[in-house]
Amino acid sequence: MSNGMDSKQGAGASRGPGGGGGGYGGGSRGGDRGGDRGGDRDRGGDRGDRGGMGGDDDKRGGRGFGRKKVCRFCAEKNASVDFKDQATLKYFVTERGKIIPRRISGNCAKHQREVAVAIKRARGIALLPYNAVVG
Amino acid sequence: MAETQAAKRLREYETIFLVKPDLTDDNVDKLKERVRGIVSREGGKVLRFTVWGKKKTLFPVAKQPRAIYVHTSFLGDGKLVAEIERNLRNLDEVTRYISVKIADEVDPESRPVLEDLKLAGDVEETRPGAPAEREGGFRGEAPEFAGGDSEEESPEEA
Repeated sequence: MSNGMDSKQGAGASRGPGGGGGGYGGGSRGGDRGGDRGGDRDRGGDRGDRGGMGGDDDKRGGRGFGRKKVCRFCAEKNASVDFKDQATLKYFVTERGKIIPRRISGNCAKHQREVAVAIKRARGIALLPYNAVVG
Repeated sequence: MAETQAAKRLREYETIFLVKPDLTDDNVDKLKERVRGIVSREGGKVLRFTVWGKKKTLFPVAKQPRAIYVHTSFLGDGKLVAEIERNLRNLDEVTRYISVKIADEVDPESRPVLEDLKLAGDVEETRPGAPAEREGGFRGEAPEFAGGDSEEESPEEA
């Protein structure tokens, strides 16, 4: 019984950091563009801690993301992915020229696949860089 | 023969190829006509040629910071695409090319032939000044950085 109490308290306590996790999510956006892996590792550790505390995986309320991301190509009916459209594709690569992952760009799976292929084609004809030197 | 031709449904492809930036308009037109000749010889139909003009490439292509882009869309079959690519490969002026299928099963009658377009391309090189030198290498895409640079430079020039 007392164990249960403890775990509940643990869960309650963990909700505070969980709220912080939302802020962290925002922070990771900037971090990932820089291409650091620390962000991912941090997140994994966070999840592990929470599971050990109380296993309140179903209470996602604490892990609030700022806003819901919508796939750009789904939102606009007549928007299609085109490898010739340099201006649009630029939005989905980092300054360095890497493809931005789906969890950050907010694309749906279907359109992310199309975007990835389009970016690779655009690289072939030098519309996008394989590797741009920043700074 | 005519019957099969009428019933035939073709695929729509687009091909983009990059040619060296020092080519004159006449030479680009010659390349266009060559591709057009291949398409009609192989039973395809050219829909449109678009010369995008001289554009900056994001990395040096054939040791040049710019290239002339030519885009064409046409109807045809896989053999036609192979033939076009074989020819582009053999032409020294063409540095890169890519062919992509746009649509299957297109009725050639339903697609009109559009007139050729010519776009201006980048206009930066008409402006005399320093930026031509900086464009030579890789282009770092840092807007803030570039902005900072120009702000620093403009007082010096003034």
